[in-house]
Amino acid sequence: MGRHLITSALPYINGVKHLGNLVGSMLPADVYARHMRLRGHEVLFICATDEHGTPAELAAAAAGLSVADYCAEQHEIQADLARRFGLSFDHFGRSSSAQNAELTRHFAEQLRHRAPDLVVLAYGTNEAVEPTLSDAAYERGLVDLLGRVARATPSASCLLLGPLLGCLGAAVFGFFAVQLTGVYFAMLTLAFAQIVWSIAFQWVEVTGGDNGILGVWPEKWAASPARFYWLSLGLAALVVAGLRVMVFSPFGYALRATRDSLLRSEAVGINAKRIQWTAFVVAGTVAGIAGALFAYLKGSVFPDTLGISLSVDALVMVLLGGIETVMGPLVGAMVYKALNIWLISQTDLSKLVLGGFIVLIVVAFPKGIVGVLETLRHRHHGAAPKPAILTSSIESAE
Amino acid sequence: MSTSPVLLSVEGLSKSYGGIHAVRDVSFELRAGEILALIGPNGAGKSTCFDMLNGQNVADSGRIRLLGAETTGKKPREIWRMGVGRTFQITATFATMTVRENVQVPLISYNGRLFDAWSSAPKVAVAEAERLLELVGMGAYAERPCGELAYGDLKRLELAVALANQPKLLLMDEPTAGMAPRERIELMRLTATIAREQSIGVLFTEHDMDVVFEHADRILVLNRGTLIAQGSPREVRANREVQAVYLGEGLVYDARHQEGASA
Repeated sequence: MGRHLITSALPYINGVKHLGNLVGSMLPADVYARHMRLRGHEVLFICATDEHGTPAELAAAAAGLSVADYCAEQHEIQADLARRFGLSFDHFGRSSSAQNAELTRHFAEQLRHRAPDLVVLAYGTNEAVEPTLSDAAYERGLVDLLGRVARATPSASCLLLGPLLGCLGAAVFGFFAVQLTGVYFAMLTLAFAQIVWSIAFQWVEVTGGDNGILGVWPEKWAASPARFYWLSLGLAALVVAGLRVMVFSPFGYALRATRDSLLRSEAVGINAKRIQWTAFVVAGTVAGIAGALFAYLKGSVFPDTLGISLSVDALVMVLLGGIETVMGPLVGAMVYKALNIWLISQTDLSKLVLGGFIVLIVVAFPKGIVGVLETLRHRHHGAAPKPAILTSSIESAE
Repeated sequence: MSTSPVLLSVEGLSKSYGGIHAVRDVSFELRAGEILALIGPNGAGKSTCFDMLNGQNVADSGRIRLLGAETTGKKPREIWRMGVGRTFQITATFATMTVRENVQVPLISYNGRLFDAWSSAPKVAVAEAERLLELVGMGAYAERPCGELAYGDLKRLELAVALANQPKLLLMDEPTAGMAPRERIELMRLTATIAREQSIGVLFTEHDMDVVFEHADRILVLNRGTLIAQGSPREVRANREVQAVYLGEGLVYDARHQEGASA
């Protein structure tokens, strides 16, 4: 099963076409469209009257009508002809329609990224009336066109740009955020998320505003769902493995040290802000990779992705899975997503149930799912971690 | 002792908060291998003085020099790099890490490997970490999570941590606060032994006078921000002004009693 977009050359608006137009352009496309439909493919066969260019204006002037009126009248005639010839267009529109202007832009984008199974280019011989045209020049023109389609300009690759932008953003925001600690640090990161969201929402020329950026598809080699799945899984595994190495590196120890005691870290020569800034930049870069994959997965990206709710989602995943572990956030993400999807199919109150479940987990098991599993494993092996006896021998200080 | 080089030299250190002189024109010296106690009643300026030495507070005026190098206005981590180890009144350790990891972190920092993100940290400076833990008698606890330790053990761990940068000077803020009496004696004996063996100068603040008179080579007495006396435990004990403003009746009696006994 493939998806096929088929079109034939758009007939000019000026007058009824000769039979050659039907036989040479529309009929072959129609035959092909019917054939593909019979074979069970998903086919979109479209055509329209071409109302752009000098012929429309000249013909309208000759008929003593405005261009708009002339085109409307002629479109009806041609659409009726197509119907009566039994052509199986899914849509026979007008090149002048507002939707078409938007659609043309959209299709150009889509075609560039979607890597269609087939592109059918129908061409007419309107150029034959040109007195200076030679066979060789005509052939050259066609070869050139085909070459351009085949080479289809590669878009700026998100997978490269994503991590880079994430890294830069984190470097800037992190610089300010690490000046604060605890709750204020957290609030500032959320504030930055909100700032970026509002920029994305209002900078319509670049981000499309509320309409988002559409037609973000992977390069052809990664376009098939299976390939993209393996690409994402591979990248995620690689990044998690890399982060795990980092957690158990000297840098990771230093990072844990700044978390446990800023006072002690500073007193053993650790510049906590620089350590935390570095971690912030690493996190931003990794989030950039995730963001690029997310955009490719959806084929589009909207300002909401920058909103606080997604930040909270990520936080919930970490709490659910277990803090202070590498595996925790992974498990948390899987459970959270799976629950989310399953609950939506089970109840109208899915968000409420999910929220309740998370509250339950976080209160009952503050170390998260992985924390609970580790405790169980220790108990199974008879080596339960001893309860903290931090205060057992503290006397009251004088 | 007086032949040892001067480690720490403090001249005319002052600090005010608003109109209140927390520390006023304090000067003293500390020699290598010497154990110096800084005492005084609550509000005497001990903490302010201590914080200016370790870089957590900046002096209004005066100079602090460590082996001739200026430390005035430097950050705590910079002062640490100059060879100053610290312990805190309320222990500051890395609670989610093991005892050995708690010592590995300062060693990683000392070896300039804080931004090494690829090596396997559990293998970094293990021998040195275990040597330090053995030194303070914590070798058997290396694998234990730090959060499980008894308070006395945390204090000993802090001492190992403070020794990781091979310090010339140890700053200990109330090292025995919150400990059982027997633990106090053990910790201070251990500190004194290490200080003498490695020629480390120790400056500590302390409320417990038994600890002060037992272990200090010299004592500085602060009152209302001013240094009112300094000298050997015997000299300080005999000082009338110290007796009047700080030590109170019990020790005045004790001092008279001793004078009477020796007469």
